Formats: sequence, structure tokens, C-alpha cells
Amino acid sequence: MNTTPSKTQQLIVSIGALSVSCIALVVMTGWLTRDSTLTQIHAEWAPMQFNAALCFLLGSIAIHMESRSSRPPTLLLGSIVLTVGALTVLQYALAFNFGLDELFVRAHFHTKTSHPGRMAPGTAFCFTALGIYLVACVHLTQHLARLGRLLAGAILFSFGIIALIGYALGIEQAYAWEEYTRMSVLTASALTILGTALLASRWSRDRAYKAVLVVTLAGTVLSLAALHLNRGAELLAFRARLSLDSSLPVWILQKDAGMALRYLQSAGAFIESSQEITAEEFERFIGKVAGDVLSVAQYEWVPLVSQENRKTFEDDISSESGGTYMIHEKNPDGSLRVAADRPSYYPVKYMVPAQRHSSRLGLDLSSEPGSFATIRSALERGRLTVSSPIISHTQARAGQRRIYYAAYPVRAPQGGGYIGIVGGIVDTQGFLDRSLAGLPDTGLDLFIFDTTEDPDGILIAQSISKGHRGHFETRPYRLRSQPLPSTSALQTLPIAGRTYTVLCVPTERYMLQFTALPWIALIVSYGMTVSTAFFIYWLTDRSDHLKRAKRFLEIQTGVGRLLQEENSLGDIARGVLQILCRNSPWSVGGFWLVGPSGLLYCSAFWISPGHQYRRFESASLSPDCRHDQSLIGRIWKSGHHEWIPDISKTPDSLRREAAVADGISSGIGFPIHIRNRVVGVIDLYSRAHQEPDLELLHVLAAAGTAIGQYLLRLEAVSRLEEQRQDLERVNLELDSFVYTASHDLRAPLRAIGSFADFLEQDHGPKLDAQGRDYLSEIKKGVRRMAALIDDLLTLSRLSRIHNPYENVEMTSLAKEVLDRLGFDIDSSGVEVVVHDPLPTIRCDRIKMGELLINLIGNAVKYSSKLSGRRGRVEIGYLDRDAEHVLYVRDNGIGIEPKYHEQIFGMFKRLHTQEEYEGTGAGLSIVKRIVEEHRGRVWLESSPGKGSTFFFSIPKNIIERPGPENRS
Amino acid sequence: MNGQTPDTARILDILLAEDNEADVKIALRAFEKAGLKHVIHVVRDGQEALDFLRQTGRHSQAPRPDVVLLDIQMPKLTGLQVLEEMKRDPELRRIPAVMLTSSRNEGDIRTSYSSYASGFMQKPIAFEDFEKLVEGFNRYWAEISRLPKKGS
Repeated sequence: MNTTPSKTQQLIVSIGALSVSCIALVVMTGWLTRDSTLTQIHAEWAPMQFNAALCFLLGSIAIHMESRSSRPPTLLLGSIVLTVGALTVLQYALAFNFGLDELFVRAHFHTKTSHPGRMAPGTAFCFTALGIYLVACVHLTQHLARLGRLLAGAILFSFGIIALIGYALGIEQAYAWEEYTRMSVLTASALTILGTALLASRWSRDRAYKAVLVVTLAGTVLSLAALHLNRGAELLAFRARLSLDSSLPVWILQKDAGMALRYLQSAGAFIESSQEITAEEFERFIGKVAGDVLSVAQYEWVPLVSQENRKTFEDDISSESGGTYMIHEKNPDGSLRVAADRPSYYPVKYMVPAQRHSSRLGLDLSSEPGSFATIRSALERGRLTVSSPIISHTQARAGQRRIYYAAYPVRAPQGGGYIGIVGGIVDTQGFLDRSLAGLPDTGLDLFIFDTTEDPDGILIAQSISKGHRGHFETRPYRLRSQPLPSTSALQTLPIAGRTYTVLCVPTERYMLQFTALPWIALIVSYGMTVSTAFFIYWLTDRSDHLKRAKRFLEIQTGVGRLLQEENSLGDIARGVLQILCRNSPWSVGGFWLVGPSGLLYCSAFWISPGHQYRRFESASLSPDCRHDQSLIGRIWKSGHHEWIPDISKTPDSLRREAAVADGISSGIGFPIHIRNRVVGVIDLYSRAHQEPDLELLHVLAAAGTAIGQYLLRLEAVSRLEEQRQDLERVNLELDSFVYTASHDLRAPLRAIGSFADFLEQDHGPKLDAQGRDYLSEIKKGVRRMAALIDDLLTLSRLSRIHNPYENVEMTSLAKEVLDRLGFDIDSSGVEVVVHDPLPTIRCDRIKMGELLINLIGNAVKYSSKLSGRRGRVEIGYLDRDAEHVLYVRDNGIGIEPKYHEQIFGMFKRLHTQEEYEGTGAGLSIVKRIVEEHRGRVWLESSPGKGSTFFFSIPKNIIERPGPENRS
Repeated sequence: MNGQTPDTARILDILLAEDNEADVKIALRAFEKAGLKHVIHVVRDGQEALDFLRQTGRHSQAPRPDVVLLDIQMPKLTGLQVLEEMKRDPELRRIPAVMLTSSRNEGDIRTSYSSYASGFMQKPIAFEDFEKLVEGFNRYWAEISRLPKKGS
């Protein structure tokens, strides 16, 4: 049974769905019409992406449908939402573009968007959760659907509200995950609204609900915090490492550069100290070291040669080298010619490394503007000067390779002017390569910019790491005019009066130190959140379940106890209502029974303490109320329970208006059965809205059955009581009849007997033998009748009188009986023996005495006329586990087995009055007494062998409460 | 008369209230057979018994009895009712009333003594037992027990 939300809840859902759909439509319009205000509101803010808007639209429609019907057709909408969400998440996870982002609309602006058109990862995750719920909700049980809805709503709500708070307080981490698209304000609001709608659609007061919401909210915050903290930690580590890794090469470069330049200076100093050096000396002192170690491509000695000294200079060198040395110069087109006449020349005299066929040797550097500017500057300043970066033509194949010309002015030994310069061509790329050759590849791309003149920097050299995966292109970085990668680092490198900026760009391999750990942390903590939410839900549900079970148990035991305590019906009715109301949400109820007239009447009406239901109470108790036409009447007729979730909707409830006026919203009624007969109805009401609860119904039905059985018992008991009273009355009548009869019989009997005596006394002599015989028969008859009357009275007395049981010492009782029978025993000559010890038996002393009188009397009588032996009567005891067995044994005439049953019959005799006197009532008296004690009497006897009469009295005798003794 | 010597041959006036003809005859005969000389006045119902005791109506000349023997079941007034009346009357109160009845009812016995009966005798069926009863009655009331003098 799928619960439907109440009207308020449906309204909330509709409002929420509607507002989100509006937002979505507006945004989609904005995308389609390229109006950025609609999508981002503020130009600096991230926009809601088209896909997100689409998912919001479909999702809100689905949620609206889901709240209205129990089998919502949300499969299609849900699967679209799920697909979009899940695929976007996958795109992020696999860093692979499925083309989903711009499927519908091209993204023409991407503020704060990492991939054009792609929604924020948080949004994608929310849609995935929502999509899963929408797709699965029709197939889930009510319980799971509730949980799913709760979780989806909580997730949406958490992400939305956290992002909104982030926007409000300016905490970017709340809505931004790393570099990825930021969640837009619109998206955050829409998520919050949609989440609220989902939560509200089946909101119940269960603690489980609140617990899950709180856990999800907290879990989201913590997971995001975990993500950001982790990533932050990694970033810190990264920055530290980057700083370290970028500092090292820079430091080495600085060192090497310094060393190179210092060597240049020392070369100059060397030349300064020696007046003139030879080529060999130049090569030896400067050459190899410089070239190999210091990455200066070329050192050269450029003396200052005046026009006058030209010829001498040229001849000297020619003779030294064995070749022809001529000062030449470059044409603008690059060709060479002999240097024109000038006042001074700056020819390259020595070069290290010496290059064969080098046209540079003898080149007048004044014709090389780049070098010459530096030379002139050096001579002017009187110190080492480094040029601006020069494009190397010889290295043109490698792109824009720059070199530097360094010039160190050499003075004349004893002061005076400069005699020339030591120059160096610094191949910056080669320099860089050689400097960093020994270092391990850290995975950083290094780019060295000369920023002395241009802050934007001129790239002079680069060191590309092998840490690139796949296709690699160097981006033309510029320091100012273009944004640099955020993960790059800049270091400043001043060398020889020039400023260099080293740009370190981490390669993919370097970025591998960014692990997926923060994501794993996020996923794990979110997984834990969801599991905790499930667990808490299950726990609180279980605890609620237990509480419910406990309450139901209370109801059952309370009702059971109440019914056993044998209170009056009114007390029970009130008590039952009280127990039911105490342990369930109901707070007012009535107990209705069918009266003798066949109409329902109110046996009890209960209102929980602290509540007031004046109008309802008076309506219920009013005698005008025809209940057989209301809820109660329906249940009475049908015998089935009825649950009314909304009392204002019941068609024909008589008390409906009063109920609604008093704020009652739900009610339930259930019948009280005796077998299949409805004998009463209990109805309960509450202010809170109650959905039908199967378990509660079962408990109530069980209570109804128990009460029904109790009523049945009451009925039976009262019937029994009636019967008992009838029986008593009859007995009483019988007894008094017997009594009166026997009493009234005595008087005429007395007359007969007495007058027969008078006759005999006064006129006896006048009678003949026959006459006297007749008289004697008359008297015998009288005696017999008197004895019969006595026995009748005894028998009647037996049933009327119940003496209380006491512990009777059988030995003393036996002795008493023997005293009473004393005369008869003595005159019979029978020996009577009592086998001690006889037990103490709990019984009716008087009746037991009668019993013994009868048994012993009989025994004596029937062993009194024995020939050949003396009559002997024994009284003894046998202990059997559960009962006392006593016996009276005689050695008399015995009884044939076939008469063993009969002789216990009333007035049954086996002998005539002449043989043995008696009425035959004795044994039936004995039997009746023994049976009253719940015992048995039996006989062992055979003719001529005597008889033993046994009788048993149970040890654990339960004394029957009898009526008052009447005599 | 002073002294405590029992008058062994006292003659008593005994009022017998009995409705049954046969029982009257038996009782009278029993007294006769026992050789007792007491004067036995017989009344046949409870009202007559009271008249006799109060010496009214027919019995205005009646002597005050020394002992009253009352049957319980009688017409008009029962023996117990007569007993109650007697004990209410300051004069009649002094006369010992003994119940002579067929009843073996414990309740009757109790009620009789509650109403200050002086004795309760059950009429036996056999005549010789009746004789013994009368002898016992005589022995106690005429010989052993002292009665107040009449007329003081």
C-alpha cells in the first residue's frame, strides 16, 4: 500500500516543482536566445548549464507526478535525468568528453566553466541520485521507496543549501570542486527547492526522517571538506615541491652563469696582466675549460686595433697561423669583404673553440651591430656587459633561438685605456642544457625569459621534460599578456645586470603527484554518509519498530490483565479504552455494547487526560444519537473493522460535525466478537492524521477477540450462576419437602405404633395368638418405617449440610465411633481391632464419623452370627502416593462378586430383615460421603471369606465451597 | 414453707398444648402408665393456650400451670409464638415452657432456646420411648428442679 501525501504536502510539492520548472525554462530560453543575463544573472557568476536546466525541468515534472499517483510514469523522465547526470559524472571521472555537454546547445560563454557546457560535478551527482530514485521508485516496496525518496531529497537539499551558504558567505569551496565548473546560484537554489519538495512530499514525524536528513547534510559538508582539505593538503605539498624543484635548476643556472662570466673576467684579467698573449696561450688558459664546462659557446679575444696598426696586426697573425689573416667585415646581405678603412678595428684575434673555416676569425665586430653595441657599452662602462638577446641566425632551424654576447673590457697592464675585450657568445639553450644535464628529470618544463627590457619576456631558452604523455605541443607562453597555467611557478634570475624570469610548468607526469586520493576521500566519505544514513534510518526505524511493538505488547498484556482481574464490565470497558489510548495515538474513544433491547449503548467513554472533546463527547453520549446508522452501526452489522484516515470525508458519520469541530482528523472502529457474533464495538479517534496501520489493526482485533471471550465468559458465568441458584432452590425445596414429609410421617407412625402398644397392653390377654401375632407385625412395620424415615432424613441431610473440612485424626475418630457403637459391638461379641497408626486426614469430621459408623456397624452386624469362629473386624490404613486408603475388614459371610456393584444402591439389601436387620441405605450413605470427598469406595469379598471395604480420600483435597449449612 | 427438702411427690399443673388427637392420647397414657399424678390440662391450639395462661375467655377459672408443654405446629398460633408471648408477659414469663414436638429441626431447637424455652423434647415414635421421656421429664421437673410458688 503506497501512502499518498496529504493535501498540504502535495501543495508544497507542486509549488516546488513549478518554481523549479520556471527557473529551468527561463535558463533554457537564455541559452537558446544567447541572453547571458537569464543564465548567469551576474556576469561574474557561473551560469546554469543547459543540460542542468533540462534535467531540472524533467525532474520537477517527474516529482510532481510522483507525489500525485502511486504508480507514477516516471521511468522515461527518470532515465533521461539519470543518463545525463551519470554520463557527466563519468566524463569528469574519466576525463573524457562524450560530447554530452554541448549536445543541445553550443556553449558560447563559459564563465567559471571548466569544460564548455558541462555542469558542475556536484549537480551531476545530484541528478544521478535523483535519476536512480525516479527510475526505481515504482519497483520498490513502500518502505524502500520512502527511504529512497528521503535520501534523494536529502542529497539534493544538502548540496543546494551548502552551495547557497557558500555563495552567501563567500566560501568558494562550498560550490567549487577543484578546477571544475562552479555550481551556479540558480542551480543551488533549484536543488534546494527540489530537495525540499521531495522531502516534504512524504514528510512524517519519524525520527528516522530527521536523522537521515541531518546525517546527509552533515555527511555532505564533511565529504566536501574532506575533498577540499585533502586537495588543499596536496596543493600545499605540490607548491612546496614545485618551489623546491624549480629553485634548484635556477640556482644551478645562476651559479653556472656566474661562473661563466667570472671566467670571462678572469680571462680578461689574465690578458690584462700579460701584455700580449699568444694564440696558444689563449687556448690553453681559456679555451677548453671554457668551451666544455661552461657552456659558453665561444670565447674570443678582440683587441682594439687602430688603423695604423692594421697591417702589422694582420701580418703578425698571418705569420703565426700560417694562413692569411685579414680583417674583414660583413655586408648587410651577410657576405664578407675586406674591412674598409676606419680609425679603429675590433677584429676577432683568437677564438676558442677554434673553428675551421670560421669566417669569424678576423671579423671586425664593429660590423656586427649586436656584438658591437655590447662591446661599445662594455668599453664605456668599463665592466662586463651582456647584450640583449640576439636571434641566432645559425640556429634558425630550432626556431627563435637566442644567444647573448658578453664583452669584458681589458685594460692595458699599467693602466691606460682598454686594449680590447674578451668576448663570449653564450648559447643560452646550450648553456641551459649543459647546466641541467646532471639533474634528474623532475617533470618540470622550464622556460627562461629575458625580462630586462620587456616585462612580457623574451623566451631565450627552454628545457622540456620527458614527463609529457601523448601528444605535446609547446604553448607560446607569455608572461603578462596571457594567463599562465595556475600550476606554474616563476622564479627570478638576475645575471650580469640582466633580469631573467624562469617559468616552471609542471608536466602531466609532475601533476601525477595529484592523486585521486581526495576524490577517493570524497567518494568514501559520501559512501559512508549514505551508509550511515541507511544505518541510522534502519536503527531509528528499528527502534521505532521496537517502540511500536512494545506499545502493542502493552496493549495486549494490559487488556489481558484487565480481563483477568474480574472487574465489573464498566471498569473493564473504561480500563480497555484507557490502555488503548495510552499506547497508541488515539486520545478519545467509546466502548459500545449491544443492550438487551438490541440497540447499541455506550458502556464507557474515555478521553485521555489533558484533552478536551466537549462537542464530540456530548454528541456521542446524547441519547438522540442513532448509532446504528453511523460508523459504529456499520461495524456492528459488518463485523469488520473500519479505518477512517480523514474523518471529514466520511459520508454518514453522525458525529462528524462535532468531531471536525473538535479537531479530530482520524478514527478507527473495530468489533468485539463472540465467535461470529458481534456484541460490541470500540471506536477511537485522534487529532493527528493517522494512516491505516496493519499491525495496530491486528493488535486491536486481538484485543477485541479477548474482550469478546471475556464477555462470553461473563455470560457463561452468569448463566452458571443462574443454574446454580436454580439448583439450590430446587435442592432447598426438595430438602424441605423431604424434611417436612419425614416429619409429618412421624406423627401418624407414632400413633400407629403407640396404639398398637396400647392395644397389646390393655387388650392383649383378650387376643388369641394370631391376634397377638398381627399386632407384633404391625409394630414391626412401624419400627421399619421409622428406620426408613431416619435414613431418608440422613441422606437428605448429607446433601444439604457441608461442614468445613478439618484435620481429623482417624484413630481418635474410629475410637469415638466404636464408643457410639459400643452396645452393638458388645452384644454381638465381635472383636474389633484398630490398626494403629491411622493417619490424619483432612475431611468432614461429622460425615466421616457417619461413614465409619455405617461401615463398622455393617462389618460387626455381618460377622456377628458366625458359627465356629469369633467375628473379627479390623480397621486399617494403606498409604498410596496421592491418596489415603482406609479399610474395614470383617471375617463375616462375605458378598458374592456379582452383587459388589449393586449393594451401594439405595435401600438395596441382600438379606431379609429376619436374617439381618437394616434398611439398605448404609452403603449408599457411605458412597455418597466418599464421593463428596472426591474419593472412591470398593470392595474385596467372596462368600464365606469375609469382606474388606476400602475407601480412598485424596491427599490434596480441594475443599468445595458449599452453600451455608442448613438443617 | 422453709427448708430445701425436695417434695418428691409434688403434683404439678401441666398445660399441654397439642393439636393432634392421637398425640394427646399417647401423652396422657404415658403419664398414666408412668404412675404420675400431675394434672394435665390440654389445649388444642396456640390461642387457646394463651387464653388458658391469661385465664381469659373459657379458661377464666383456669389454674396457673407450673410447667407448659408446647407443641410447635399448632393452628392459630404456633408453639414458638406462644412462647414468645409468654416471655413477654411479666407474669407468664416465670413459667417454664418445654417444647414437645416431632420436629428434629436444628433451627427449631435454636429458635426455641433463643425465645427462652426451658427445654426441648422430641416425641419418639415408639411408645415405650415416650414412657421413658415422660419419666425423665417428671424426674427433672417434679423432683429435681425447684419451681416458683404459684400466686406470689
